[in-house]
Amino acid sequence: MLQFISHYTDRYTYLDSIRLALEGGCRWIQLRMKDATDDEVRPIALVAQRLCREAGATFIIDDRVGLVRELHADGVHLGQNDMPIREARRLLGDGFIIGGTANTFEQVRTHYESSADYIGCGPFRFTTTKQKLAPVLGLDGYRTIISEMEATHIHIPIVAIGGITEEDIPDILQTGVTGIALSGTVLRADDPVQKMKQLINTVNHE
Amino acid sequence: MPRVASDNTGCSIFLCLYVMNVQINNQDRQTEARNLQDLAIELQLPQKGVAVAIDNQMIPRGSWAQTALQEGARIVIIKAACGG
Repeated sequence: MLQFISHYTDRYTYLDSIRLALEGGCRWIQLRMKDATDDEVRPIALVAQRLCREAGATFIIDDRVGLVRELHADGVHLGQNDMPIREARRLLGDGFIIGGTANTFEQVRTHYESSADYIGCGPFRFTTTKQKLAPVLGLDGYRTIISEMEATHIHIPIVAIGGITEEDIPDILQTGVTGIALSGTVLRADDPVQKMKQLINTVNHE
Repeated sequence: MPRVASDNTGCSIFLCLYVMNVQINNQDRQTEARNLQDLAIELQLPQKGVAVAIDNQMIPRGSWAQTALQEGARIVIIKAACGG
């Protein structure tokens, strides 16, 4: 399973990046515009949501619970400094996907107990996309978290995130995580659409 | 084809319906569903706010009824408490 997190570069806008990911076959999109206001995000989110609906893709917005409810997006992703998951669930009810960021097993357990639907777990390695960095996990970090989850019977999809390249995917999936979240590695490619196709192929064959 | 299954009291029971073995969120599970739509009903998934992947591939809700389940399929359901 592959989640694409929108980003902008010198070449592409947020919406460009989403169009490219969808064209490459990705069916799980997160719109992440960390430093923008809701009013700046709203028009972009509306177009992104329409593109995702047309493609049959799941559409998640980072951080903005109110906007997710207003636009009827598929769900929200909440970082460590965003609204607590329990509060978001109380506001949104069961009809929305809620994802939470975790860096440790304890955070995974807290999110699970707060009724998160999936966990974005990372960073796998150092990344420039996120400014506030938690310690990098590496392959051993994922192995440890997955084995602690198994020992405590916590079953929730884990999406690995943070500086992941195509070459890393087989090893990361071998640790037992469920999916991969990507951003930069797609947009930095000469041909992002082709790159996304390749990445999906890599994920599907693990 | 009838199958013999054991319940947790150790008694053997005969099931007349063919039961398929699948994995949901890394847990083994048996289902009578033949496609993803029927599985969603069996699991009482909500009408909104749920995403499903089979063998790593996300399946749009509009395609669930046409998506046949295969024995041994690895299914991921992004919805709290699914398979847990």
